Amino acid sequence: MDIDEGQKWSALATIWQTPADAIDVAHVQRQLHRRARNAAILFAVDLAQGIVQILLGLFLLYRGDWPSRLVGISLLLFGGFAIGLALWTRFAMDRASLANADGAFRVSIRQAEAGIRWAISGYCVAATGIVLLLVLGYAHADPAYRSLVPLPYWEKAVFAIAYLGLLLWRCTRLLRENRRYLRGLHAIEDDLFPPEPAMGLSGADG
Amino acid sequence: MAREEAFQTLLGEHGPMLARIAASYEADPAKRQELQQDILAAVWRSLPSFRGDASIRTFLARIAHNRAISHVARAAAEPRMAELDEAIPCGQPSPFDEIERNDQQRRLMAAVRTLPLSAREPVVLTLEGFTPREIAAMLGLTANSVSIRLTRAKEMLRAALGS
Repeated sequence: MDIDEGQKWSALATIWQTPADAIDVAHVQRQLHRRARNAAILFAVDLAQGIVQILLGLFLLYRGDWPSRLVGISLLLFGGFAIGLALWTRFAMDRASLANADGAFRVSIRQAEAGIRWAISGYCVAATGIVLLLVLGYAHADPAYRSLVPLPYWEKAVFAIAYLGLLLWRCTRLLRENRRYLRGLHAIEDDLFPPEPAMGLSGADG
Repeated sequence: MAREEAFQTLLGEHGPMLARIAASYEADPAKRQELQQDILAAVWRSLPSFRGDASIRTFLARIAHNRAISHVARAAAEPRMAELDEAIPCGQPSPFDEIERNDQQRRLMAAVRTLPLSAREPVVLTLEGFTPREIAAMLGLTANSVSIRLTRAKEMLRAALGS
């Protein structure tokens, strides 16, 4: 920037940096503590959900029939993926804050894409699991269905179906949110990183 | 405790800069407050990562800018109501000079918000006192690209301010 250019920006900067009201630091810190606590709770819920999926998967693996084992394997993979994604999201966001603009933008895109993959796979696992449990229930009409837990089939299956229904609802919401976020990122991408004009100009037009 | 004290000090010194960066990306007061909290939460989490390889101002501005862009992306795909007028809280009547300065700041802030993101980024950072070299490092651009964007932005600002 030449000197005249610099003076023009300085004049604007003086207006821009007009002193504002003092920040209530104590109030801000209370808000942040509350926010951090809520974020920690959500993170714990995400991890717990992954652990429940893994445990459910192990339970279904133990049942012995091949359809249950299939669902069990899917839940094990999905639960592991969910835990990994929760951990990565939490730490990737912090890395994104510190990167330069391009790096942060790319991390955000990867985050949104990973969220979409998680939601789609969760949706598939939950929907498949519900259908499979319903089918198994009608196929095995014997109420004292073979199991470690001495309860009739439907008394156990209803909890699994309810949990998978909740998972289905959550994945549908997350899919919508992450798709919206990714659309937003792509919408601003051209605005943020426009093609640069040919080099060679000094950039100072006096 | 050291982190709490450091955070309090930073907020006191650089809080207005972070608030201005948030305001340059969000006009709606309620959403602006969410963005400010988002920025401050990111600053809090990132404080232990500060290694002193850049100034603390650069460190904070980078975090604020990155969170603001993420905020804009989330808002870009949502339906919006008409942009609200800014409502800068004003308690007691201000002296004439204060009102005029605040009005100029409001006009400048509104004009900056009309800039496309590629122009807004370097303008906001220039108005905060960062050099083209610092801005280039923050945005991952060359100094020449920053200068070109600033030149274009100056024309757009002039048109938006009507002067």
